[in-house]
Amino acid sequence: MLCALPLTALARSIRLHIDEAQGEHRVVLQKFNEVLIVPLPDPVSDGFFKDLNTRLLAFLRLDNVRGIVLDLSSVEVMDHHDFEQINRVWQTTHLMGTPLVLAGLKPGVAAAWSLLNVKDHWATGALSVESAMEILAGNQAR
Amino acid sequence: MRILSPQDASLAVLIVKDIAHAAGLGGLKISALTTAVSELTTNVVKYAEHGLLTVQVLERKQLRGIEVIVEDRGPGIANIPLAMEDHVSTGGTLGLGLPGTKRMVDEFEIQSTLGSGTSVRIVKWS
Amino acid sequence: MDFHLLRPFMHHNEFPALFELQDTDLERIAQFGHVMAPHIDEVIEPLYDFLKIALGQDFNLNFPDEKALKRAKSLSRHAWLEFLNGRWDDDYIKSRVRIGEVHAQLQIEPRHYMAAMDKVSDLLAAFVNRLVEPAKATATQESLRRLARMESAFVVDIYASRTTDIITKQSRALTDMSTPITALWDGILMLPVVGIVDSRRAQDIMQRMLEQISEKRATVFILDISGVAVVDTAVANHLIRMTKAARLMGSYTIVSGLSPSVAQTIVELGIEVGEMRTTGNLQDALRIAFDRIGKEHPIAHR
Repeated sequence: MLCALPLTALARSIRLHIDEAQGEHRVVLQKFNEVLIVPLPDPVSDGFFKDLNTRLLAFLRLDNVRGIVLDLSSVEVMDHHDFEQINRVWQTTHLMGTPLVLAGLKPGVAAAWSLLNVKDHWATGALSVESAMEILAGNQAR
Repeated sequence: MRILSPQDASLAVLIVKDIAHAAGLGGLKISALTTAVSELTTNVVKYAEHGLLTVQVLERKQLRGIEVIVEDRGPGIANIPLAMEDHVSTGGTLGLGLPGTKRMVDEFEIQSTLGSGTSVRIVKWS
Repeated sequence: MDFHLLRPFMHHNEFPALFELQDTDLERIAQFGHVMAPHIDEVIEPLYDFLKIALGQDFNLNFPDEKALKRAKSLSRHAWLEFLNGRWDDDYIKSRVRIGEVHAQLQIEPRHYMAAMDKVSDLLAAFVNRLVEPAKATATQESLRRLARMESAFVVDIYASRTTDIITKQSRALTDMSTPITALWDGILMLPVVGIVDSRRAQDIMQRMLEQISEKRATVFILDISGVAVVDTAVANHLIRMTKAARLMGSYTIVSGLSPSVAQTIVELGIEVGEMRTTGNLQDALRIAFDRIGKEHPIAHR
């Protein structure tokens, strides 16, 4: 949809009127070694988080899940509102007794969240989904 | 660009990103700018019914800059200085995220009248 | 007006106390000023004659032509007439700051400026003998010298801050050649931070640091600050932010190279470093780094 817009010219001033776009939020869950991997879409949306929370609650009740990895490696932009949404996901899973790891956070987002001074004491980060799995495995060993 | 819904906000972010990229801004500067835009448009979606986003490419000597103005006719901000302070309190959320947004950009101006609306202007230089 | 020039401006109240200049001094000067004003050119001309001899070649550099010379004399005249008004207030301060600015821009040496001030003091003293009744003469001369000294100190202060600015800019230019991020081991990156860490450089450092962490999958990142000129609250906050961002990405940051004096400053300033891990030297940081790697990759024990 973006390609349709004339963005090639460095127009001095662009005032665009765009009709409401149809948002899509599909929650995709993968399970690997009893760990749930959730890739987050780009961009994230409130609708997505709402669906995610519902799906997670259902999943955690039924299946044996010993950890959750949020794969953030595709997400280019997240503001503090999105951070709080992720925190809420964590709160949910935390209450259910399942650890959650944020994997593959992009440098730009990390920098932004840091500048925004988000309260991150609860968060566990991992460089990749792989490392996240190792962290969760380590958890198990303890 | 008219912002009515969260999808508009996302689209706005993407547009600004494309423009910034075309203007030659570096990776992390684009991230900072787009996150700032995300913050501002999220505020619009949250607190005001709708808003207007204007993006413009500026040129100053050898530098290019992206200027984004986000305006709304929402409730406005009662106490701007307070809103611009970092909240260190426990349990509280970041509210409008304005101090952080200011840190992410090179120029930051805000005007707000209680009951009439808010306007924020940010510029990120290359 | 540049902020840095406001520094002496903000402390201008200190000066009268320091130089023991009182209201009576200013009154005397003002009184003398009334009778002196018509004779002002009889001071300006000799002053410039003196400067021509004293500055030698530099004189032509500063006053290349008749027009420049005329303009300079006119400015001097104006400045000295203001001096003779006997007022040390905001307007006067502003005008002195401007004088300092101009002198600095023209690169007139402080010693030349001071010599000129001295010369005029002498010339004015001679006029005091001519124009003021003997009973008041000595006191008036003393007041004039006091104000001249005080003003000199003020203007030289401005010179100094200007020079500091230039040096800062130059040193920044040097340290802008950014130091590279090196891999000390598989998964351990290090960056020596050198010089002044202002928000622009902090942004640059954080950007490179986070990009490298992502690219090289660095589990540990060592920021060595032994080369950092000043560590104050602002710098500490930058470091804390970098640590925070890296942590969110899954990387552990160690800030090494804290000198005892820096540690003391941090404590004195009451800076909350929180969970930020710091060490005095690089070896300790390395040891901690290997520890961390060992924990997360059981295979990589050293």
